[in-house]
Amino acid sequence: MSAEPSRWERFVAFLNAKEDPMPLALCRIILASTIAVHTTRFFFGGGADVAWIHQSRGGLSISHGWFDAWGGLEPSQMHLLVGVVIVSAIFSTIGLYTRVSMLVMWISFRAMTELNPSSRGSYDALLLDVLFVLVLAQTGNALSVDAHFRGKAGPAPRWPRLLLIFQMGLLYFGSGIGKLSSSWVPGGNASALWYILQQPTWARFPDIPGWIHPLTQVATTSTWLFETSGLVFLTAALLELSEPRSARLQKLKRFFARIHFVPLYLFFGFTMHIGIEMTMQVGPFSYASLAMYPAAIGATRLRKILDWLKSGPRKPSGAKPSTA
Amino acid sequence: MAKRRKKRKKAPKREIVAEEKAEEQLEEEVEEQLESAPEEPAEEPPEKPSAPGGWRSWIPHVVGVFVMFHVFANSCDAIPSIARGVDRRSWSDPRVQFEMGVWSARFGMEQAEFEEQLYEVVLTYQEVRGTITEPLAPYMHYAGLHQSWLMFNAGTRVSDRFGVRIKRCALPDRSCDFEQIYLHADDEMDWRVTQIGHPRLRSMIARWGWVTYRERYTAGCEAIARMAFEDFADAQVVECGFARSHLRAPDEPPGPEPEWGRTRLVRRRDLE
Repeated sequence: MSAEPSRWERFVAFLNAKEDPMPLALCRIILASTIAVHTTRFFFGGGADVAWIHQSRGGLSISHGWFDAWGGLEPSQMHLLVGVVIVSAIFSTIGLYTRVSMLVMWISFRAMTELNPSSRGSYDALLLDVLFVLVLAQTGNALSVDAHFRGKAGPAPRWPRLLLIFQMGLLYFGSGIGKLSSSWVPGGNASALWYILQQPTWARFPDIPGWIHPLTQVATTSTWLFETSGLVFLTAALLELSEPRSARLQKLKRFFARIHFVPLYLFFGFTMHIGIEMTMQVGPFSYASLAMYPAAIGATRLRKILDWLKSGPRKPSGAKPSTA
Repeated sequence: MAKRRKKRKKAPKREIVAEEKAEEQLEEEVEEQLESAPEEPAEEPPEKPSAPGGWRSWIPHVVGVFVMFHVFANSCDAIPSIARGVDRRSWSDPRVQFEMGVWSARFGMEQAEFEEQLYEVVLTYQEVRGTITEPLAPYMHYAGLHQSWLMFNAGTRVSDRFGVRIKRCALPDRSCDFEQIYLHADDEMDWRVTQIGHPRLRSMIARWGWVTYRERYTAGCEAIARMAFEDFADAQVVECGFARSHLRAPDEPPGPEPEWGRTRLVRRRDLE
């Protein structure tokens, strides 16, 4: 007769359960390619020579970051560091020596962004938060050179995926509760996005026409509601993955499933990030956020989406081919 | 024993059925004898990974502890930090003053009284936050984690655009005027736009407009002046500044021309 597993044992088993590695592999690909593209563009655009070089050597930085103890970096050494970031990011994207590449990318990207703390954006923080989890995960077990040619394919433990979902919930909730301005909080004039979209520092098209004002009001309130419900999303996503024993939690799980809360939340988030990318210049923030989405979408939904993308939209039966 | 049986099952199919049965019978007899015999040390040690109590069996538990700690530390760090709000110099900024006016009206208080009370709350809040996050700070620091997501907190009507101007004659000389070489988001004044116009540098430069970043602004303008003197051999003076404009409300016509201000002047001879 086997004893009933304790709550802790059930929790540990839940975290360590092996599952389809594809979501984590996709997270790796999106994140590493984002770092590769962003760093390459910044470097070849000449920005790195201004941002990451100390003022004493002709740049804008007032710090040498991790290299203070060695008297700072010469421009050529900074170029070498950026090169390491780019190469390790490319290796991570294709999944070649994935673990080592991810580790090198994490260390070198951190060292690079520390070269000028003033020029760090929220996207750097988010990229590093996600990267830390992915370095610990088995992200090379699918969609990688390692999996296809080096015999590294296989399932991956579930816990890194859970940490990424947690990160998503924290990101949105933290961002939502910070928006205490009267122009964000419902009950005010909901004008935050109207003005943000005109800010030349961020806006792609600052001259927005007046007729879109009501749309920006709807977008302001819905964005605020979306972000502040980050913890609700986290609860719903965790319930979706688990088999709760309590009757209340089971009921809550059924409720979230009935209203399709998780897929709708993810769909809204996806369209919001696409909207941000189209209307604002905020660096790779949207891509860093979207890098977590495969973890929340999960393998089953991802495979359905991929199948749909492969087969394309189905033609209605009996429809005659167009002669036009 | 189970393993031995499995191996038996994998034997070639050509074996005669009768032989198989005989073998199985023999095996069962041996098993029975072994079971009834006193326990002896096994010939081969059990595989370590599956052995209960082996170090590998602890890994899932270590993962469990790590996940709980990571979640706890990051949740605490996500409590929004308003360290910048503690510096009351930034409260004089028109953008902050506007918000103060709106919120004091909502609470039905005089703005000055509201600001005083709010300041007390801000100090206490930061102190409590510091007490919670301090023990976890080493983990967050060494893991390179950061969870403060204060982004686009206010949609203010005031807009600042960073710009750079040069003068090709000495400052007191009125024979020449300043020429604008860079103004953010202006296609015509795009000197070094791929560098200082990049989002990474833009967000850094945008902060210079706040009173609390005054020193960084001065140092940053000097660095930009060095680049401008390199590119414009005849430039004698470089001026950094912000063009402040008021964004258009939906039912209003465009506002007045932007005001150029908060300038920093750097002369070529200052850097030589």
